[in-house]
Amino acid sequence: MCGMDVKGFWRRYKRNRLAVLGLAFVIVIIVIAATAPFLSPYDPFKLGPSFLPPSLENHILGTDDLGRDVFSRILYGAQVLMLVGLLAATCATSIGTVIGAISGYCGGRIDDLLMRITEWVFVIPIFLFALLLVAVFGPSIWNVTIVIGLLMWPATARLVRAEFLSLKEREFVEAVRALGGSRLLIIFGEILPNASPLIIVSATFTVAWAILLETGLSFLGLGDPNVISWGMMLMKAQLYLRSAWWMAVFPGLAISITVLSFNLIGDGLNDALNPRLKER
Amino acid sequence: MSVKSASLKSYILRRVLQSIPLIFAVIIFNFIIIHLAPSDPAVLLAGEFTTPEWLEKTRNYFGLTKPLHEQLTIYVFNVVRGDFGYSFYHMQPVMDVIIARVPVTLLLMVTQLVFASIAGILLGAISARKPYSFTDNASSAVALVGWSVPSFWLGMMFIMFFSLQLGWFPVQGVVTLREELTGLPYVLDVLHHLTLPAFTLSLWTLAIVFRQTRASVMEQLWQDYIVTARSKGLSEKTIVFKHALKNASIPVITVVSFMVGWMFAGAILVETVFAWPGLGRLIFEAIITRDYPLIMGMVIIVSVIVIIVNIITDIIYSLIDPRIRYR
Repeated sequence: MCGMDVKGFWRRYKRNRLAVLGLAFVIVIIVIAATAPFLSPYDPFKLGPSFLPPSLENHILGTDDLGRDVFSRILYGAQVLMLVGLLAATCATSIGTVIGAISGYCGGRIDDLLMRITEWVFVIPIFLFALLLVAVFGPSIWNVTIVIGLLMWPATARLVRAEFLSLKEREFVEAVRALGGSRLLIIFGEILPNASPLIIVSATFTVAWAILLETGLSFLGLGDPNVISWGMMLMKAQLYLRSAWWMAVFPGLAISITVLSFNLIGDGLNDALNPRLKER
Repeated sequence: MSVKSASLKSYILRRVLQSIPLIFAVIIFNFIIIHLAPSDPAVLLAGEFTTPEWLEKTRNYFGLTKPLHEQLTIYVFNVVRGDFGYSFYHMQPVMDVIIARVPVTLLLMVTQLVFASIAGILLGAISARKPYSFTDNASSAVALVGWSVPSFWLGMMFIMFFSLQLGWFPVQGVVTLREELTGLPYVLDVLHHLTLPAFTLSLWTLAIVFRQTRASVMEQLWQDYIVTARSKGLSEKTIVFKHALKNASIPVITVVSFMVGWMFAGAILVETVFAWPGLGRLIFEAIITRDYPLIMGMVIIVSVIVIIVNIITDIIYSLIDPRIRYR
């Protein structure tokens, strides 16, 4: 419900230890992204002796092919990843929510049309479309963010539509309708707040997908060359698998932990919102 | 029976007709990109790796001096005939370049899909029967990792460990280049090369199949017909694997069919890591050489493949599930 009891929710969320761990990791990563310039022991663009293996004395995660400090680059890479991941997911979730809400509430022809479009975008190979768009319009972080945001909404739209279909028959909606509330008020003022827990779950998973998509694109050479991204670090690392394992291992671990954390949070939220499923 | 097969035929026909607008939408989307792009449309149609003469030729071929609606007609007409332009880098029509690589990618994708489906369904059904048991927890953990770890990085780690460290598998390619093998040794050599990339790719698919199977079988186990089956004294094995799994299979097939597009994405990335000479490798080269016609051709062809897979899946459902009427 609208004034959902936060305490009870948190109590149920807390029961899932992995979800708590995921949340902790995400907070740490966001803090790292925000404070990267203070935490980094080296300038991430500064050249030096190349291929130094990890050592506790100077470069704890070693240096890359141009002698740049891998640890500092990973810290800075968190900035881009979080920016792209969170912005793209916000964009995709907003589009998906609006389309799903209108579709679910209005029904009829509008629903048919919107769901047909949603199904189309859902089915097409999104990664290839993203790849084409970024290749044509240039690989800046903004282009990457917009492209991901514009392509990743269908899953959210379907979920939100289903939720609206069931919520719109509820008494409280009937009541507002009887009082003469406008459609917009009912959709966005009454039903949306009640659907918001579900939207948050979906947004969490979308962040994970957006991050995977961004790293995939930059791994193929479509990352912004002016910023540091973990995907591009891996693209470079591929050439030196035999000699410089640390260039491949650490950025990949960073990506995996980040994506895993968002997925764990999503699973945890899901369980906490549907306590019935858990108790079965 | 004949009535049924007649309605099945018209159902298939209708599904095929319904997907035609989508294919046109994909083609028109490409056309719009060509004209919205910051660079000259001729470059988008010919690629950056080209000569001024070839650009001029392309301009004439696609009628780029004519009004926009005529250009659209020409473009759509060409694409529908299978003419996606010419890859100057490969010195071949785009269609030929792509079609030559499709079988190698399909070999990788089908192998991983078969393995992931069998393993995912088995583990999912076993886990659903005894939730929070050791098997369930272990499989769920593997699924979570397969779901979260980027496949291309996993591939790199596997190469470092299994190929470079242990020497069990070849590092890259699809066959050993130094030897001229034929017959059985050739097949075994390909399988040897296939194992690592296919396994890498399958972990992600396995995660999806496992999660979906576990959830749907668990849901089925609460249905009335299962209670009836139990009260009849059927063994738990029969109940899970015969009754529940059969009904749980429909959402599993749906999820897999929706994920085919993403499987192509995974294949592209994993192929890059293993130098597997399929579509993935091709698109990697196309990005480096800015071979736009090749990228666009691939977007259209892969979209069509994905759409066909979805139609086939829909037909499979209507065969499995008698409740689905051919509307």
